[in-house]
Amino acid sequence: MSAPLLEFERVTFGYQPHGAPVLRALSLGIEPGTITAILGPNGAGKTTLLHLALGWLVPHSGQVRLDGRALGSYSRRDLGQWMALVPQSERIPFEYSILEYVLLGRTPYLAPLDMPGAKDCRIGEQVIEQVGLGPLSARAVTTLSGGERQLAVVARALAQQPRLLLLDEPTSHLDLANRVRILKLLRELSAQGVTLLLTTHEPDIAAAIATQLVLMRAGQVYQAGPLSQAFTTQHLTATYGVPVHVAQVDGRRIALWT
Amino acid sequence: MSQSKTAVPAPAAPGRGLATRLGPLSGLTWIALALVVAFGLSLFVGRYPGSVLLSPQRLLADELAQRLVWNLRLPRLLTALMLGMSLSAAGCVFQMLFGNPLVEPGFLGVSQGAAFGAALSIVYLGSAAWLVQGLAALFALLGLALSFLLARRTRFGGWVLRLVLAGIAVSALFSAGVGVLKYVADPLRQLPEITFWLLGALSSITWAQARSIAPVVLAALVVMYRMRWRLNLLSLDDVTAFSLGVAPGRERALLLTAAAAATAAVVSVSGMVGWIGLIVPHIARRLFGADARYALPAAMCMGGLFAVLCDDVARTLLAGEIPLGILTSLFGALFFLAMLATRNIRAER
Repeated sequence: MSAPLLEFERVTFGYQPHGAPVLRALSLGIEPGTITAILGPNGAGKTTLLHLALGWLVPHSGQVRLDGRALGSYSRRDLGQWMALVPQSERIPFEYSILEYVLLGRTPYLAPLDMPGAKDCRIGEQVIEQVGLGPLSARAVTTLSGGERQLAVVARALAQQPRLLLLDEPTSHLDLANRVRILKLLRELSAQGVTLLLTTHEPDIAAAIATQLVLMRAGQVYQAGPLSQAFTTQHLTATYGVPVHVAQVDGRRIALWT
Repeated sequence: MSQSKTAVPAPAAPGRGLATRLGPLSGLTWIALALVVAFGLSLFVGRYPGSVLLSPQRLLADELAQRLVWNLRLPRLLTALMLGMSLSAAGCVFQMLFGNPLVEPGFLGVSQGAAFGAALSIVYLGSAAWLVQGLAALFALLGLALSFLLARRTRFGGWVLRLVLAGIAVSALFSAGVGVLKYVADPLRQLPEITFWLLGALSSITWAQARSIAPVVLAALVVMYRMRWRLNLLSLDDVTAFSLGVAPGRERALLLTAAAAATAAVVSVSGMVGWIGLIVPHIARRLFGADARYALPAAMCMGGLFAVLCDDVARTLLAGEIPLGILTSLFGALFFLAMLATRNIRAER
């Protein structure tokens, strides 16, 4: 077993200083090269966990470590080169072209007053090609369909050339064909060595893509491990508190519920 | 996510007519060139000696004309230039930072604060130019500071909502104060002066006034110009900007301060000149796309051009001066109507 790339050590965090904590003494390790899916009911703390991994939120107690070093010891730009975020819903208030929008992902590689150069544009065009939006790169992001838009957001994150990609509900607004498109892209990224950490509401998305599964319940990790061990009738039922039955079809696990 | 996009389907590359035909850089060059030419020609425009134009030969021969151009027109045109550039740049910055295309640069208590300061000076302290300007600038900054403090004290909503609400509340407070001052003002001496100030005009600009605001305006314009790429980032959500290696709070505060300081400075000498900060950034984005790398400098040049041309009209159209604020509102509103009628203002939310 290799050393974890990202490690939570007894992390406690709450949004109100004196209110109930959202995460309670949570410990978790994400190994390099894995695709880890976080499953859990609404309010279990999935998004909070991603924001802590990003450094956007700082734990009240405990520590988050990236590559063995405390997250706080990295500069903002270093972190931007290390990891990228695909947020749950990205508001893009002005009509940037896809290329202009994706170029924003090059920011961690620019000095504070610099602007993207030819190399950045090349990388931007490359990742737009990679996510399959090549023919649309001059289109305004605001005119894209939901699926194309999500691909553009992923492309913006890829322009950061991250080693760790955090995705918050990457498929939640998408239809079946676009889900397949995104999941295929994520598998390709994983094959290129990017470590993926994603949250999802849907067990089947996790089963379709993850190698590792983290089940969260009430601010703690209820179960974590390889998909085959964690994605079971017993564990999913306990996680969601309603009867869930896990079946296998063609070697793939699916969660059935009534 | 609210995606209430307006209805008309957009073309392949929306809002880039000029930019696609010329390329954004050469488009900018043309607009900058137009600004320089307009500025130079405007020195010869005014009601001396004839009704519109001063001929260059006359300028060489006539000492009075030389003094007039040097002592009156040049500082006035420079102020118009600073006014247009500052308001447009600040409008662009505010609209992008707030992710809201309907924001104008004075809305954080700056404009109404300045109006209150000017009226206060006219009623109680006297209407010497430096006094009115000083108090207007002081209260503009006070309005801004109050908005910030109030936004920090507010306990609900996101940062943008709190700041917008605080700006509205502070502006309302100062505008009520202006109402009180107008009520107690001497209707023959003071009230016309207050009214004239509120209409916005550059008729009494001197070198002293132009010089007094130039350092602040220049510094603020440089900050906004140099940070224009960061402006794109800051138009996104805070978490996203943070994930891109930006410290959103600090950079936003710096840009807001620069934009508000430039606005306060120019408003303190010109009075209320509306619509430039709202409409010019829209036209710039329409022509050059949303990317602030091009939209911001374009807005600066177009704002300067707009203010200089409006002031030419203000000087020449009638024998008496037309307050500049009336003209910018008139032309600005007409532009706005034309934009609304021809193509939708594209924005989410």
